[in-house]
Amino acid sequence: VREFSETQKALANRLAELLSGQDVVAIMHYLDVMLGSTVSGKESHSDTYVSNPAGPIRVGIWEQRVRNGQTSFVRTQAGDPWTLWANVGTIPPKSRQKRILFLGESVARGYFYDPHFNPATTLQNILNSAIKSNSVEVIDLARIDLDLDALVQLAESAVALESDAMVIFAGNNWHYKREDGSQDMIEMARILRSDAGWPGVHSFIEGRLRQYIDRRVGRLAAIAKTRSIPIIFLIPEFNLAAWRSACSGPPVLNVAATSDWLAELEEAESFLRSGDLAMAAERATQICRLDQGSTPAGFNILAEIALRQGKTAEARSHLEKARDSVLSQPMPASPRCYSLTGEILRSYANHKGITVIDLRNRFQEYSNGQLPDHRLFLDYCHLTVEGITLAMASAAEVLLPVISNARKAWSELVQFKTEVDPQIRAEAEFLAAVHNANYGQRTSLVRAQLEHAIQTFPDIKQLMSLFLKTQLRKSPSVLCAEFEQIMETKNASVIQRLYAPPRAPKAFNSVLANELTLAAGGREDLGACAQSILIDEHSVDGARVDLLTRFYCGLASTAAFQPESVRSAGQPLWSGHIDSSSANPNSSSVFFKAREKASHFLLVCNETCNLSLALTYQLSSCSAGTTIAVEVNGKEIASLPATRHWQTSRLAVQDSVLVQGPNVIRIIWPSLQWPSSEWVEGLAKAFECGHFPDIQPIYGEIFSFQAALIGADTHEDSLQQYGKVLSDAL
Amino acid sequence: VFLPHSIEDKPNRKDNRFGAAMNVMGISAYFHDSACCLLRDGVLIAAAQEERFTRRKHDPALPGHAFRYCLEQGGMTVTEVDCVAYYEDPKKKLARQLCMMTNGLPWNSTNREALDIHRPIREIATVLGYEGPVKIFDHHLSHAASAFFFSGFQESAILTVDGVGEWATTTYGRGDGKKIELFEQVDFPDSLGLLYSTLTNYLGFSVNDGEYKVMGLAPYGKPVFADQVRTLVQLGERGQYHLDLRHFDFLRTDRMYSEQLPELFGHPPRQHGSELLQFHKDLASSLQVVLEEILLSKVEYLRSVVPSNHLCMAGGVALNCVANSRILRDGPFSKLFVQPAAGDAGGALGAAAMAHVELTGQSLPHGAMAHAFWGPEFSGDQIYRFLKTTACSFTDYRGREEDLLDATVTRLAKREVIGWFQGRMEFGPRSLGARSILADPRDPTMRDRINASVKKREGFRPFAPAVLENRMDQHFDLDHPSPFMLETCNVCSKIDLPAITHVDRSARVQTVDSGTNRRFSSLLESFNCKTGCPILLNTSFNMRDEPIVCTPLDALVCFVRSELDALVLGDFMIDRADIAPSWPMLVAGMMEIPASAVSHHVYRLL
Repeated sequence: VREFSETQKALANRLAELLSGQDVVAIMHYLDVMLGSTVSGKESHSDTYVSNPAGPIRVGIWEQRVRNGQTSFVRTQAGDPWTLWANVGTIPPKSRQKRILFLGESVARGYFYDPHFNPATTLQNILNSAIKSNSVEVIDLARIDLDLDALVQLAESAVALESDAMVIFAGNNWHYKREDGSQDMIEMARILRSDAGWPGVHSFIEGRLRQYIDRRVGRLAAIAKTRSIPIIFLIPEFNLAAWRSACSGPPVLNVAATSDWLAELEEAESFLRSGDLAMAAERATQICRLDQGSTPAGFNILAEIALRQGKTAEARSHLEKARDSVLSQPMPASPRCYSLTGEILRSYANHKGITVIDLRNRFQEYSNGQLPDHRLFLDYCHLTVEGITLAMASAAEVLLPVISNARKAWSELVQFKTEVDPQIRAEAEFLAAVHNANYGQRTSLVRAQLEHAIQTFPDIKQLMSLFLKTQLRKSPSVLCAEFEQIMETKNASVIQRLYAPPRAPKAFNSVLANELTLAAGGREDLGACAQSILIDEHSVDGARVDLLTRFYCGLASTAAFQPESVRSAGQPLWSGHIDSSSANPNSSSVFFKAREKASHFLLVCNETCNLSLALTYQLSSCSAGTTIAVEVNGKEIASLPATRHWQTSRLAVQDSVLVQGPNVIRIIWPSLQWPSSEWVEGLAKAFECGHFPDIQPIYGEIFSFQAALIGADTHEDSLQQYGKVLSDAL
Repeated sequence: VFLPHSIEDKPNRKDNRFGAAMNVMGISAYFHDSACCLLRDGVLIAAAQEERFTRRKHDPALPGHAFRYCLEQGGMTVTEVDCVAYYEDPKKKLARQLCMMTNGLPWNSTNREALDIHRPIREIATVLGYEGPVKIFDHHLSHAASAFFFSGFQESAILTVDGVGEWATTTYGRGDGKKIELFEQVDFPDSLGLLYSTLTNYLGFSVNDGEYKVMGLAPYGKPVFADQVRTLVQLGERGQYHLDLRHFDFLRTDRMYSEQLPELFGHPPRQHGSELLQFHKDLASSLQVVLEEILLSKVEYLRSVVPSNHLCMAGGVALNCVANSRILRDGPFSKLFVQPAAGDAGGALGAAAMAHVELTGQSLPHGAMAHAFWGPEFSGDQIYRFLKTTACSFTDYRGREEDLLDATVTRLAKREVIGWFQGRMEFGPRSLGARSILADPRDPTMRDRINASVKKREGFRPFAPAVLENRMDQHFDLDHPSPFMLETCNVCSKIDLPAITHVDRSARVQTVDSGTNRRFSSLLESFNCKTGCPILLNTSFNMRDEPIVCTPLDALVCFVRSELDALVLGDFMIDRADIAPSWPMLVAGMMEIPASAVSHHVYRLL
């Protein structure tokens, strides 16, 4: 740096003045693309895992060590957490055993079972059993949350392990990734402003994702060619029967089309409930036409109709489209392997040294044409013991001729007896049930998994009970007294998954709480115990309760779209249901954003007495005369004027509408006139500034929402406190 | 682009629950140590750094948590905020950034984002939800106001010194009543803050974090390199000075110096974490001496222009308590005020004060800031409810304060190290008895033990004493209170105090009086009664690379991760033996502390 002349400073000041218009970031972004092209032609890098180009050769978390001419790889502390990888300290020097490298994501890790049981070990056991020797070793390089760039880096570095073949079981984490300095965002802004609108952006992202995956799969395939290492791609399948893709709201259309879309959805659901499948199908088809496949809403309904009509193949097609529809959503969707991913991988099937196993077809064949379901899946993509065995038998069928003279069909290999302790199976099902409930999946699915876990290993009730109690407490679970007992299970998988993340705010999941109470009750009155904890820790008594605390304002994860007809018929034990309309987890706003028409809040009372609520709210758009309804336990207690600027209302809640224990406050927002052309223009400008915008509608916003006993008026306290502070100061 | 409402549609924000009260929020953000404060009718109600809530050291994010805390503490909601005051001018800063780009600062997406001058105003609306007027003040004016308006001086000279704000790196000014005038400034790249940071970087410490370590290292060395350091800065006329820029490189992302700096000193740069040699200590000493010389020279100049007895100082360099003491001892001013959050966090305070003056035409009503306890507090009931659900046992001293103090001093006298969590959290980088680690200063092994086992940090780092104000002169060469631990003086006690006495016999003293810090004062009294020593070692309640604890949960986690012997949480005491068997493994090994949010290779000039 050098001293700046006054002329330089004056010019810089003028330039700063010129750039002080509202478009400064967009201008910078355009300059970035036009002049900078700083990363033009440069491929993006992984966010999740970085190899070690400067130091010794590193494969995943293992680093090369050469001793006495023997090369081994030793787990190193640097970089990635060990818990994301196989629990292996050292990868030994290559021996005379045939060496298979096994790469992939959490599915390949054996999520929920690992380290007690996992696919790599299963594959090794199947192969050695088939060959009737111990001549095969499978090196487990699967990592939880591995993205595509990291997979490519890992596969390229893994060549150092001198393998005889490589199995790549991945595709669930291959999502669109914005490359810095690229034209993408400017192009998306252009499309959004055109007649193509958001569906056009969706198509554009699909095309870019296709290019992105194709380039990287090409690099993987090059390993087979240049290094003469046979590669087997296993294309993951999705739990189509049980899992429903989230619909996070209407797509970005225009006001009229959005209104039509919402009306069609309401009618389709209504027809579905009444059993008028033809009319429901007509409406659902209209939904798909309006959003051009950019939301799962219409497909989910069409699939439900097809399933009721026994048309499995048709249902499969709709469910696959629903699964694929979320690829342009900036909100986190559960991992999944899109159809285009499978298409790209299959296109490499004829390349030298490449074999592709499509689990979609294999699972279909195995299930006699039925949709893949809970037999094979624990959640959306993670497999059961049976699913893992089937997938590994399929890989073994291809590997056997590569590494030996043996040949066996997958249908024979799948008979391999996989020994997994009932406790481990039950714990995996329990963990999956928690996972599914937190993803907003159907009550029936959660219930079935909990019940099956108990059937498999009845003592798991104790773990369920302890888990529920820790979840209801304010303190981080790991500090709760009950967690000490969970620790005594010594099950690393359970502890690790219930433990993390230790300081994340807790959310009250009423579905999970209800189902755990029903499933794990029995000798212990778990419902009463849970209610007692809730009252003890969360009730409105002496102090104010901030209802915007995560625990009271619902789940942050994306809720699944659940037509009434596919919701559980079971009545919750408690009166409350907390929905998912909480603040966007990606949004850094310090206030609550309602992303659904109704927002639900949990209010716990120790005894029924009069309460006051103080609500500061606003709407981003509203028409004159519209109102916001506030209900407590289904009874309307107030109708508030819709306002575009923060307004504080104080509401009294009579004891007659409250019950001891959990109560539900529901705020029903006015219908949206959304999206306005200004709002769409705002999205386009955000793209031009290089940001991926939040595309969900906001029905209303709440800055603060507090409950207090009447008589404990905190505002009066504040005035008194203020007076004291002022008099002290003066 | 992101404004939620059209401009014509003016919000009707204010309701009058507090009558005519004027609520001003001050915000500093997007650089390091972001913070928020609330002034009501000019009275400071609350102030806190964002890092304490997010647990990201030096968090630069817009202080959303601190903003909500200030509202909560003020018993108000966003509609009652009359004005938000922002602590620097993004447009002026952009001009300096653009100049740097013509000088070779690389063009990349991170830098591009940093040039978004609308971000503060936009995000105050979209992230904080505040839609009213926002007033913007220059960075160094905010610094100046943060000192002068809280000094209790009716008039004063003002000196601000830091790395860089917009253009200015040093300013000279005067305050008089409600008016502040900054009449001269030194512009970037000439900067004493950057000089100190560059040598901090060269000495292998983290920039924006390790400057304090360099100051602590200085007494171990001799100023044998002072002449070389002097060549780096040429004093100019009036308040000016110039860096010899051949030795600096502020455009790099991995270091702040050019190849010529190691050549000047004849030593390669120290690698982070490597052994500290005598050269490093001597260079730290030389840097400190030269900094003090320059500051003394410049305060002499300031006094020649502003013939006041009072001096207010602010900016990151004003946290150099050794230099502060030298200025007071050897300089022309008889009184010095440095506000406890003198760095960028304090900019929030100054901006809010400026906004108050502009809006009301009045100065701030109170006298000197008497304490730094402007952060959150937790009631006994809240702490009890928290503790009773956890898997640890504890002793409940509610209603038995004397017993609590007695139990605590008994442990301290037995050479135990105590985590001490009381009342409202401190604002600023120093722990002053609300979130502190305390120990017996008479124990010669204590310093090494706390550095190694409790705070897990460098062994050379000194600890500060807290002493009863009415006994300070018996133990320290100090003739005035030092409540914020921002001055050093010589230890003159008859008691041997090895744990808090630096190698040059100095100590960074905090004086404690019962009026502002009652329970801590009582603890010191009790310790004095038991041992005859009215002094305790007082260091911040955190571990290396972690912000000071804010909540009872933070304190408990830090307690488990460190090797503290006991934790006093309000009226409750937890012994190390009382914690659950699994906690050391679960918490100590696995509790994630987010990485520091600020680069420590270089001073982040954008």
